[in-house]
Amino acid sequence: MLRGFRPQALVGALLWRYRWTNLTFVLLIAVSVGIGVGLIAQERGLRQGTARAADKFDLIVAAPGSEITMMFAAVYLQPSDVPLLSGAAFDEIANHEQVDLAAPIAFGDSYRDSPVVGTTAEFVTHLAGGLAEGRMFELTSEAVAGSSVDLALGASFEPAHGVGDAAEEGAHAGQELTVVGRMPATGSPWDRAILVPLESVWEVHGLVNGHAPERRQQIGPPFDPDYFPGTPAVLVRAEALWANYALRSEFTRDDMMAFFPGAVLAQLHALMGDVRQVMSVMAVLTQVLVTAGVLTGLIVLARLFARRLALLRALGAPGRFVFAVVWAYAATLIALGSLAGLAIGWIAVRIISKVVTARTDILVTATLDWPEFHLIAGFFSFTVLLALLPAFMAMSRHIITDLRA
Amino acid sequence: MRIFVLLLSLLILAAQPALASESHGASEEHHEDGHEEHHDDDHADHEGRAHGITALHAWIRATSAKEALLFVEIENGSDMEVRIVGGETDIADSVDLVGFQMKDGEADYAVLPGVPVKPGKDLVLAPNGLALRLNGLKQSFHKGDDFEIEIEFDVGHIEMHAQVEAANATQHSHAGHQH
Repeated sequence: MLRGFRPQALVGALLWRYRWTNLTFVLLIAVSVGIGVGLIAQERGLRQGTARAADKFDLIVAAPGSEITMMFAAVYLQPSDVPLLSGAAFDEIANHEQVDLAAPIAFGDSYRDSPVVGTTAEFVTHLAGGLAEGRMFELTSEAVAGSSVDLALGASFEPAHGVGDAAEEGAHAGQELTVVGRMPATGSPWDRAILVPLESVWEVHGLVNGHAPERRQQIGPPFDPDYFPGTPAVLVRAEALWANYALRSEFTRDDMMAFFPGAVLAQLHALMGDVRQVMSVMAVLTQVLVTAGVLTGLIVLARLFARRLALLRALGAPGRFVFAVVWAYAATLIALGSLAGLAIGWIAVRIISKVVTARTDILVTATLDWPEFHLIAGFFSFTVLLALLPAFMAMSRHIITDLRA
Repeated sequence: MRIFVLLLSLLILAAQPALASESHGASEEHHEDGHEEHHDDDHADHEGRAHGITALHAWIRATSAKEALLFVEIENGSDMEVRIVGGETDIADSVDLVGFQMKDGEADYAVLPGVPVKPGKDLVLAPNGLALRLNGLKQSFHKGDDFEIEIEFDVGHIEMHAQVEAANATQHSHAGHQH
């Protein structure tokens, strides 16, 4: 179709001549494409971020109740008031032959906006690998801070009872804890948490500390069931996946519930996916409307320079040339719009991810991947095909009428 | 010429929604409260019993893909620990016991060697959990269809019928009904 021609110069001239109109067209296309791209990429980023934050939590065992509430409390540190598992229950879990790790997670206290969670050294190692600085807690007055907690090594603090606005400062007056270690970043709300020995949480509340009197100084398992006040949740892990399923079946009974945070999260993600589908349809509709608008604009523009094109044809340029010019013009606008849309989507996604990460402490890093590129490729091919329309119409105009206009 | 161009454009515009986003799997399906009459044969179709083990409400989602996940409730009424290891059926090339897990933020089903069920306990195979994956399906399935499945344990096997539920179902349509 283009053999022997050089429409580039003319197309370039047309682009420059109507540059503000063209810029508007490009921006319109860019914004609508950016919305579609941003939506898909962001939803995927959120899904992956929340799943990665729950990665270390294989199986959670707790007193019977709502799985979602317990998941938000134990995995994402959005605590609620929940019943406790008894010492006997914990003992049974910890001594089960298939259990490789049984770590209590006792949330409830806080310091400023950091949850203070009682647990064991094993849990700290499992969650974050080694420590970034300092050492593990060895006394009930020691603590390990998450990577973004605003306390330096050696700093002391007093935990408040409860979390957030309902926290009672001074409820634990006189109980001072000192930070002796810091965890590396985990990309989860645990970066904001302060971990203390489980015994410390009980002592701070004036309860027995989990060990019989003769072992009162001990930190960490084994605990004595008779001196175990209770813990809201236990993280359980077996090496093999089938063993985790067997444990879930076994620990689902009248006095306990066991669930996979991963499975609960998958259900929540399915809900997010449905919302995303609805919004995708709206984004596609936006793209269709914008494309229709742009093409209408092109048809109008084509009429505007119909006279010049008719002149060219009168001078001997074949219809194909006019077709090529109009089509190349439209295609260039669409291409520029799509690329700009990709850039806008990328920037929007980075900004939104930063905001979400700051707000929720879950590391969200959305990136553009094949689904977005497929969307852009699809949009581009389709609209470039649609752009054949104005090109056809320009080509089939009556030369004499245009010359006389 | 112009009419042709106009028709072509309308056709292309109408086709665009088909280029839209991926289809999604599960979403809540409300339990249908059609309390139909249960005939005796219907009861037998929903459960299978052998070796003290009861298997209840086997189902898959309607699909025309090459794989399907079969879900079922297992009750170990015997006094020994049993182990579900897999299955066999005429309508698929092979059956694997698989377990759901989140890997790097994406859903993944891993093949499992078997899962033990202690005496007196239940094991529920359900979406986002355990399932029997039917590989190489030989036909497509629509809601309301029915086929035979043999569930294998270390102590023997159970034969029963499985129902085909809607493509976005999250549970058997008779789940919760006592038998």
